[in-house]
Amino acid sequence: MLVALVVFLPLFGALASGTFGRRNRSLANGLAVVPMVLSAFLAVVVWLTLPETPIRQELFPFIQSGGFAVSWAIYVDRLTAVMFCVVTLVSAAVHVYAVGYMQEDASPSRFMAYLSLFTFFMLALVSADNFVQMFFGWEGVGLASYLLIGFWHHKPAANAAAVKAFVVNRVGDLGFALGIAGIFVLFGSVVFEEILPLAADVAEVQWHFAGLSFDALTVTCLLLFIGAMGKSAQLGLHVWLPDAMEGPTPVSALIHAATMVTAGVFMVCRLSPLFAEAPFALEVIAVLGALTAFFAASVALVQNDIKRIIAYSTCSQLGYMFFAAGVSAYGAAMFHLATHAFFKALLFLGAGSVITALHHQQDIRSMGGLAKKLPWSCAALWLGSLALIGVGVPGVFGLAGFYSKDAIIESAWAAHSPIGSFAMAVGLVAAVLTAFYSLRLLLLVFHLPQDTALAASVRAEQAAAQLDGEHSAHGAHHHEDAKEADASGAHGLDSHELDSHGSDSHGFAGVRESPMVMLLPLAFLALGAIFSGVFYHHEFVGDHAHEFWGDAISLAHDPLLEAHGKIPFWVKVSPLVAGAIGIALALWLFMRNTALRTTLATRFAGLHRFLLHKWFFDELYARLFVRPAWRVGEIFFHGGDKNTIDRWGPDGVSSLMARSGARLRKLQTGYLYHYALWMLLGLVLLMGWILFSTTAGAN
Amino acid sequence: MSETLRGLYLLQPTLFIAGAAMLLLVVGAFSNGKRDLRLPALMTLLVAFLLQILSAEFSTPVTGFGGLIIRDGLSDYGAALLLVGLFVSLLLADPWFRREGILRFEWYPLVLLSGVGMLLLVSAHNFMTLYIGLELQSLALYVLATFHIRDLSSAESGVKYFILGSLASGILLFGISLVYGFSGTLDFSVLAHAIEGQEQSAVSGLIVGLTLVVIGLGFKLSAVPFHMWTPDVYEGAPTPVTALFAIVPKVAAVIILARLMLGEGAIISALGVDRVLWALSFLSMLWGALAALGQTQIKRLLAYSAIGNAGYALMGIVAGTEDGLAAMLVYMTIYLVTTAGVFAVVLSLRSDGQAIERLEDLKGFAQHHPLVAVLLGIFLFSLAGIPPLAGFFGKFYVFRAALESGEVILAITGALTSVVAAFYYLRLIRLMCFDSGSVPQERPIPAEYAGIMAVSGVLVLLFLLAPSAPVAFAQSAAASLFP
Repeated sequence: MLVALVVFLPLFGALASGTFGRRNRSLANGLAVVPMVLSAFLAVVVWLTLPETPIRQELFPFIQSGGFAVSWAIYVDRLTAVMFCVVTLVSAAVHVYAVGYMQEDASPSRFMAYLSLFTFFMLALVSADNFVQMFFGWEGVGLASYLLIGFWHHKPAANAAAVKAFVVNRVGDLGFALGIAGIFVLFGSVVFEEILPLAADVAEVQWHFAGLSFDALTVTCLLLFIGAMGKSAQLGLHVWLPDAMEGPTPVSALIHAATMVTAGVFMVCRLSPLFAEAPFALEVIAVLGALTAFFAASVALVQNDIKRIIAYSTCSQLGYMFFAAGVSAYGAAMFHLATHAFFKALLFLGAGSVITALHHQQDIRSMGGLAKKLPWSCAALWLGSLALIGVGVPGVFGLAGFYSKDAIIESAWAAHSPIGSFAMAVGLVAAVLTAFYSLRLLLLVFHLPQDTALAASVRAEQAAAQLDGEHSAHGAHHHEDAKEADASGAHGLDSHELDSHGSDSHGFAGVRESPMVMLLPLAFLALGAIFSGVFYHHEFVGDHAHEFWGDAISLAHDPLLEAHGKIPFWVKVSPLVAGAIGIALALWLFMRNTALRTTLATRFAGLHRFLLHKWFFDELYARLFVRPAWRVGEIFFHGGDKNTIDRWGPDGVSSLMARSGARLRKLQTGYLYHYALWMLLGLVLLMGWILFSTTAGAN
Repeated sequence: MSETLRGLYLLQPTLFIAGAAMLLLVVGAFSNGKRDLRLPALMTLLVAFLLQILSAEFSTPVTGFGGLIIRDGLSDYGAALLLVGLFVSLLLADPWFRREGILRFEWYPLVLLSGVGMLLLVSAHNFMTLYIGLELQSLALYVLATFHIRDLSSAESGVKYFILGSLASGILLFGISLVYGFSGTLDFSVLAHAIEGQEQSAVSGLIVGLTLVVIGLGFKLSAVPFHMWTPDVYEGAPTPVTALFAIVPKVAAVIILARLMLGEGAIISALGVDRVLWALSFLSMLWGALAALGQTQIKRLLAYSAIGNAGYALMGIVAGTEDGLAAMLVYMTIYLVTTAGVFAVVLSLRSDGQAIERLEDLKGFAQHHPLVAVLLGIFLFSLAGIPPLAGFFGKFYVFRAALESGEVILAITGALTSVVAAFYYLRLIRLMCFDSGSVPQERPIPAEYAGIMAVSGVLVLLFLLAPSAPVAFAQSAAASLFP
């Protein structure tokens, strides 16, 4: 009952808010927020009262077809309980925050309903007891993500980003669907409880295809991992995540940082007994995860959009989680997932607070010196960043990331394999980069004085981009866009004049700290970012891991547990040192030797460009997939659909019908003698036909 | 019981209506048309309905008057349907006539007399009864078509109907005389026996005669190519009369055709004349769908809809099986209910004191009368055969019966033409809902129309909840021809 309430309260909130909240803003907010908070409270109760054996509550049968049987059921073990807490707590915080953030939006009920709907799908995903229900939640969160990225559907960029996210996820989902099919072929079932204990039995099964034989479980696991890659934005299928930042910031915090994107990690952990039997698949996961961690961190170094920096940071941290899973340290992966949810949501919401204060300005080049204006946001971003970097004193106290990132690095080392060492090395480099880009963001936004010339040129750039957007907009949107461009143009002009008076603070004369309703969730998440690591590291990755996890994840090959705490000191402090190096570098480059920054940027212009363009992934995909697909589509659209199917099919037939109808109508002259003639003609023809056919048959 | 008495007993509902009609005529004439005859006329139909139900002989067919008439499940089903249809037609007519100020007392006796003809027709077991029934029905209907005598188009439609109808009657009569000449009998069962063991030459004569009979009946059914009168008459006649034409006489015509085709001895299919019905069905579906595409008048559109529907009903007969007959009966029943609803809406359409007859004037209807528009939408969707409405099941049963008896071409044609037909039904819905127009609609809608719309709407919507009950009735009626 309790667990069902946790899952269905957000659905109720979504329906209620979407249905009854359309006229009344406070009703829309209340109907979504109250069930969500209640759900979060119940999730905590579930967490605290979780029994030894998993809870399984069957709701009703879903599909029964031959040997294939699937039910809707809620399955709660320790793994689900962790996700329950993370999802509902962050979601509740984001719901409350959204009340303030969306204060001036025209359709709050739609937003709140989508947000709650997303939470429901996410909870359905994590509480699934079989692949089909998991796939339902998987697609559901994809749908909610699409709706929320494109929430401001009057913005062409938002629509494009929403479509991109959806399409890229299709690639992953195809892998996931094929993986489920593979599971069914291998096990004859899709229910986790029936499959997972049998993993070792099918480890030897081979599939033969095109004269080659493949290890069935490895193929299946890789297919499932492709699904995880799509949802969790791993290298190759990551391109949608930065663009997804077009959505409102609460969405970025909830979906594209804390919860949905971690679904892939959750899936790998849920299926850890399977992956444990497919070592090659694990190696692939570890390598890809490590590469993603490095790639995303490197791109984040030079980005200028505050949300995109944090988005790449998310992508990078997801990479950490995957390489932890890849070296069989599922506990560490889940630990990092949970702590990351808190501090990354904190970072996003803090950034959102800055963005609203600056009237939706997101470019950090036009910010600066905001620490005094926005003290709370500044504190939130600092705390989130420090937690992300993993600051702490070994053995005494540390922020959330300190424990979880350490656990990952230590696991990679303890794996004692080439892949593990590689992952550890890459992870440490990425940790340096992480510290660097975090500090760069903080310094540019809050502490360094605003570079007025640069800010002005950025605004001019933005205005030009908006004008472009106006030109490409059509019809009804035309006016709106023009108005917006006018408004922002005027705004830009105002601030430019103010800037020209000299003192940098003038540019932000009207800037106010966000209201309490937005700051409270920040405070709540800050608690999580500070304490979630220190409170729970014994359970997730430490001495109590076995009692804590039970059979929820595979601990058989966990390198950290196998090492029994015998980790050399240098490994333990290495992430901290990496973070310190990154911080020192950033301070030196931005506070002391600012000239060197420009020198470096010009000296390594190629590298800078490479990073600024995100390793040219978008361009590569456009050339490799998008444009060819577009061209093929054009061929089929014009040649196949319009000129063949439509021409001879619907259009052709309908015009034939219309023409023959017109011809038939002409026969209806209204003259009596014509009608009589027709009757007699009909009579003669019918009579002739009958006589011919009957006598011919008789003879 | 003597033969005559039994005949009188079997025919009691028909005779009751005939007597009541004469009485109403006398009362009307003596009261100088001042007396309102609506209630007596409706009561007459109600009583006749009860008599029909109470004397129903579903188990075994009984003949009367020396084989002139027959009462079996089919005739009872048909009679019940006809009486309901007549009742609805009377209800539909009254408010419209009163608003137009052209109601005269002859309306009631004439409708009742046409009903007598139709009731005779469904229980005919002899070509003489068939002819008398048909003529009695037709004569009353000719007069009704010209009911609005001051209106030129009404008079024109009556004349057209009369002359072409006379031609059809001539064809029918000629066919009957040929049948008599070659077989020496007019009785259906005797004829059935006579057909076995006929000479080849005599068979040809019978074929010609029966073909002419089928064509004569096809005219009443407005089957292509004997349909040319239909659009003109539907358009010209006063709308309540159009409603009567659309709802009632077709039932009688398809039932007598079914009896000839599938009854004792299977008179017409034994000689291969059923191919005529096949052709009529095929052409009607095609023509009804195509010619309706460019119509601009509501009533003409409904005329083509009626032509197409005659084709679908004939398909059930052509299938030649018990299931096919049952499917046809279900189809006609659903058609009656849906058409009654459509006409209730059409008759209630008025603007500036004028009845609306052009499709154009329906623009923006949904804004003025949202509820009525929804109901009309339901009826049109049902006519177009969109699930889960009743019309879908009607078509589905007919198609299934046709496929099971191997009439693949007819079934495919039916499916394709219903796609084309869907276009013009949906076009109406588009006009109502998505085009804006400024024709103000009069309120309030008379209670009769509202009631009929509501009942039809509920029946059409809820058919899918209990399709087995009407289907079971139709099947027991159909079973009477397949002992």
